[in-house]
Amino acid sequence: MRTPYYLPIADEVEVFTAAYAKRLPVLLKGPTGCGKTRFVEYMAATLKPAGNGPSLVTVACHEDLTGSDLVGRYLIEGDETVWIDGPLTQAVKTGAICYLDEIVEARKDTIVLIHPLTDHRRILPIDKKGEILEAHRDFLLVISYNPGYQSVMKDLKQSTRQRFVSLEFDYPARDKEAQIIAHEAPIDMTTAMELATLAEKVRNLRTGGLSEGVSTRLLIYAAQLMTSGIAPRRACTAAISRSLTDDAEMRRALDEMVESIFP
Amino acid sequence: MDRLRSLWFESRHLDVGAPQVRTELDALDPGARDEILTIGDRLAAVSLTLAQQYCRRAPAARRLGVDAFRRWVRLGTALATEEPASRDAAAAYFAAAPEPLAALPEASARHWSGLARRTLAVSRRLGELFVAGSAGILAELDDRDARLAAWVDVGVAIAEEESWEGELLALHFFESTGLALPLFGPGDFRAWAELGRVAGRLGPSRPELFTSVPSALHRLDERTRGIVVMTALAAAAAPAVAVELYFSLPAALDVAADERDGVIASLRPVAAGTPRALPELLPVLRTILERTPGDLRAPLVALAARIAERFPAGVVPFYRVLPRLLEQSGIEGVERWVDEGLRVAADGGDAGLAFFALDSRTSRAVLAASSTAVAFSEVRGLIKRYLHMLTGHMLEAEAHPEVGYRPPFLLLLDGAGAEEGGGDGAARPTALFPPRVDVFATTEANLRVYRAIAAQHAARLQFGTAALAPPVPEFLARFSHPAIAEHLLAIFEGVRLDAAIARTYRGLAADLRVLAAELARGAVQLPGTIEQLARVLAQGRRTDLARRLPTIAERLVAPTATVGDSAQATTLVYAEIMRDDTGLGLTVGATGFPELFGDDSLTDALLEFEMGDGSAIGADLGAAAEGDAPPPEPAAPETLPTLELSDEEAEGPPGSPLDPQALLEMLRNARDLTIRQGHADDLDALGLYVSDLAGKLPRERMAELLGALREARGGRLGAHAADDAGATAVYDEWDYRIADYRHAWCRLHELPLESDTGDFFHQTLAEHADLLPEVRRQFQRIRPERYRIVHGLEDGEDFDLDAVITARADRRSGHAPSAKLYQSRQREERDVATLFLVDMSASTDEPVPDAPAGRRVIDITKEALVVMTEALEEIGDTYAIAGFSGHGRSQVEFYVVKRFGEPLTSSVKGKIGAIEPKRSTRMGAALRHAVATMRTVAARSKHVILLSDGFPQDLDYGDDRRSNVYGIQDTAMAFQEAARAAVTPFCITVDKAGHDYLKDICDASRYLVIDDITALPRELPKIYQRFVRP
Repeated sequence: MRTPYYLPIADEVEVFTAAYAKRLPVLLKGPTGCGKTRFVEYMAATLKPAGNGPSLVTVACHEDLTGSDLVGRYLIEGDETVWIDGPLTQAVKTGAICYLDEIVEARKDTIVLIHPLTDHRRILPIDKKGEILEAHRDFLLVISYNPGYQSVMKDLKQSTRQRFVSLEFDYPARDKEAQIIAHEAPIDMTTAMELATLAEKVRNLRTGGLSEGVSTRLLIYAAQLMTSGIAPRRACTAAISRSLTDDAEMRRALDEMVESIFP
Repeated sequence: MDRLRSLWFESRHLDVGAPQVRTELDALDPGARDEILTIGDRLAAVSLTLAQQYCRRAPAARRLGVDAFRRWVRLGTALATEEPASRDAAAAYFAAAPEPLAALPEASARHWSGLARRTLAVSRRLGELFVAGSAGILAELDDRDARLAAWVDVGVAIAEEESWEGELLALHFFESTGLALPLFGPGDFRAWAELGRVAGRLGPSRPELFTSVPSALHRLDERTRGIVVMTALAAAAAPAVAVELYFSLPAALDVAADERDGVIASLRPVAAGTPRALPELLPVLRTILERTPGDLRAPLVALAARIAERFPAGVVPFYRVLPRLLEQSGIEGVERWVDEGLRVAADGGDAGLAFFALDSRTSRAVLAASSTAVAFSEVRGLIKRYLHMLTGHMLEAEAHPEVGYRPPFLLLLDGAGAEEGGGDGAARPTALFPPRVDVFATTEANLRVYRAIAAQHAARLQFGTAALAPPVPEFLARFSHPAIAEHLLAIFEGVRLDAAIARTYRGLAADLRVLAAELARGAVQLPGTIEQLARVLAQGRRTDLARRLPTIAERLVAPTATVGDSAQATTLVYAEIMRDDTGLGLTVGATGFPELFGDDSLTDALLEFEMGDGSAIGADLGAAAEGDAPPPEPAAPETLPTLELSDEEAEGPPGSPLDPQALLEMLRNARDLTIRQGHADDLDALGLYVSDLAGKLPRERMAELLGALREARGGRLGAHAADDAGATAVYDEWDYRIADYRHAWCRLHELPLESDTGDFFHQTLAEHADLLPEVRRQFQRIRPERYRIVHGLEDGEDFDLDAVITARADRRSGHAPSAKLYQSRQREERDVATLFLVDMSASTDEPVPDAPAGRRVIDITKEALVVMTEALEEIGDTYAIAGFSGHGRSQVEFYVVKRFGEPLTSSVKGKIGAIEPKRSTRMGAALRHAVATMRTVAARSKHVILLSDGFPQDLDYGDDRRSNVYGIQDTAMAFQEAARAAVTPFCITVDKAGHDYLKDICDASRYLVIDDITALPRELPKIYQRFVRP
């Protein structure tokens, strides 16, 4: 597995490495598209060079994600029922890093499921088989959540959050973000810097009606559109202002900013 | 004889009228003197005073020659002695100056005398009035004989009507002889008399029509005067209007001399059709016409005439909104607007009226569509967000008429640079903008001007304008004319900041470049730019100074330039202007701001320039500009428009030297961004309005501005008012008669309720002690409903039996069975928000017949609310309570009892108790406001429950107070709007007649009529359960 590109913003690499050494579960907090997933991929690639099975199992959680989606279920195959391991069980068995993205989206019962995995027990009870699975030595649970846009109802319970080492992410500073954009697109540094400036300005609106600031991911999309020959303004409206909001007036305001930065 | 003469001639009464008469007589030769006195004796036999009156004028008459004298005497004597004889008529005759009479041809004199006699024959009094009125003006009458004859014909005809009215009218008519006879043409006398008759209907004590004329009438020609009378007469159905029309129309016609026929054509049908509409227009018509640009007047008046032809009622509102129309659109736009208005009017008169008064939404939309101007109100939200993005601060943005391209430094004074003025009621820093921008031909380009102004505001924060030492206000206060200094600073700092903006934002750089190109072409004159300053200086014959501006600007665009450089430039140019030989003397010198000159950021050239005697550099620059070599190009030419003074400008118009007041006016007036291109070429042509700004401290002015802003803020449209008490919001209202919304029709005030002690709340709880447990139980029962069985899952709590059976059957029949065999209970989140809107109209003061102890409707409603709050606290639903009342469309009152998210505190409990009957029921506006406040509430399901006791009603809720159709239709529309905003309205009324009108307001499932009012506390929770679904 090739190590993906990741530009450390602060000491998150050191903290994660230390947590992994002690097998402490990790909670990543931060807004959409600020690089949480990329960070986990990067850490998985660095910490666990390719061996048997995947080094990282990623599950994107959603409202209908049930416990059995994670643990596994019996499926009917011809005349018999066959047990299929879920992604979490696989990771527990093979010693991969299991990354549950946007954990609060999942149903409550799934969250209870991960509790015994996150303390000293490191076990996964599989009710349907009547088994208790002990985690592989290398297994680590990483979850992420975005405190910004989830409603109060979907906040992470204290009983859950107090089981994790927490790393807080935010959008990178302008010059770092420009570096990331320049590398990922790839695009010249001047344009990357302008995109980063645009991002900085747009994120100012997070206190003024925009639920989420523009993500680094969207900035890279915009840059990629530009490298494919789309005019800068059009690339930004397509990748940024249209993606961020449906509110017509807000979109106009964003477009004004785009037009102010790109001629 | 001698005795008689002693009676009249020796009497001191003679001398009272003419102290010179004896001297004059003595100056005549004895024969003439004797003749005069002999005739006097003869007249004295008729009347002593007549003889005296005669004698006073006689020497003058005698001097005209003996023949003229004798004719003069003959005419007078005839009046006095020949039947029908009238001493008073004769006295009136002799009182008039004899010269014009003597100059009359003999035939004319006889003709006149005959007419006088004819009138006297009808009535002595009328004859006297005729003689008194006409004798003095005979010589100046055009077409004398015919005119006089026509006049007497009309007057006599009236007198012979043999009615009391005719007698009086004839009297007034002849009384006005001197006034009206020379003024109107013979053909118009009849109309004039008729107008008099109309005026007479106002009461006999209103003869002003006959005793005075509007002074402007004299400036009109005879034909037009007649037209004025005819037009006034057209309004005969409303006598007061007719008189007012007569008195005010001439002034208006006088102003619009070339468009007289058009104005008349537009008003005549109105006078005939709907005269009572005119008093709204007449007092302002002259001003309106006067303020209309000359080249537009003719087409606009023609438009008015076109409206008059097809929809006379639209003329008055059209004239009244004319200034606003022109403000927002050009003549083509107004033409389109009128066309559309006539189409609307064809469908319905009320709709047409509302359209032409700019009251209806359609009307405004049509007008806005025809304009490329950008009004700040349209882009306020946009600009606020843009500023927020640029600065990272949540700033207020407001329009102010004093603000132009380079806004005042208000933002700095408010301290925006420091901390964000949080939402805790502290006023946020405010960025000021011009109310409209209409300098370019496209909306997009005009919007760009707003963007540039916003960028300027942000740049002042970002690029260190606040770093000036001393701070900007203090700096400005040191000048003797701070306002001028502020203009200069805004201009120079603007140059510096534009350069900084252009370096940072490529997109804005392009905008500024486009602007600069337009300015350089001279296509657009933008105030607050260095070009404009140059033009102003050139006008003040300071081309020498104007030529140096590029050099100064060049320093300011350098990346190293600071606000200190701008301040220095301000000081220098200011001092240079004041150095001019205006006698004002040099008020600011190099030593005035030692701190500014601490560093050498400006070049030597400028420093020498500042020294005043550095004429070497000044001369160099001047020579350079005069010679072929242009001044050095600015460092960043794309940000700084090159300054080119045309020869014409360089010479300067024959203006006065710059005096501070004139300079300020020029700087200020050129701020107006609403001047359309066509009118912008001539700075002199801009209507200069002088203000008293000069010499005031900017700080005072800022305080004024801020005060004005605070007032203005109250009237803002829309309702983000929800968070502070005393807020005001403006709402449109639906008018079914015009099938359109009336724009910004209702003004709603959010008022606080004084909390009582909470007695009512607790007392109600005690009284309904038996009911409460029951209600609570009901609401607890809602809870299990929060779970919902979800079928067809791959995994779940239990088997889904139906699915299992189907799967089994499938297997038996050899099909692949579904794996979705489970079911599960899923928690249903209750996510509802409900606003209880209580009708606080006066009618809720009525006692309820069956209720104990004189309870009123409002009391029972309040009790129901108390019970309801208890139930809602049990279930945990979000809710708010508000009451409404009002008095007229400008005073809709909205009382906030409990806001969403506010806990049920003792203060809220007290406010429930404080709900009391107030005034009317303007339901539509209240409902709209309720919906607006719910816009910010995050809930999946939103409801408004309206608790009312009768139909919507207010004093101006529709034209006819007795009819409630208008109110019902408006409320129905507000219900629909609520539904569109995803708020479900429900109306509960205790009015037994409710069925009759509620079915017109909303669907039958959306209202409930409660017959037994006393049951409301028991019923409300039940209704809530049924109606409010998550």
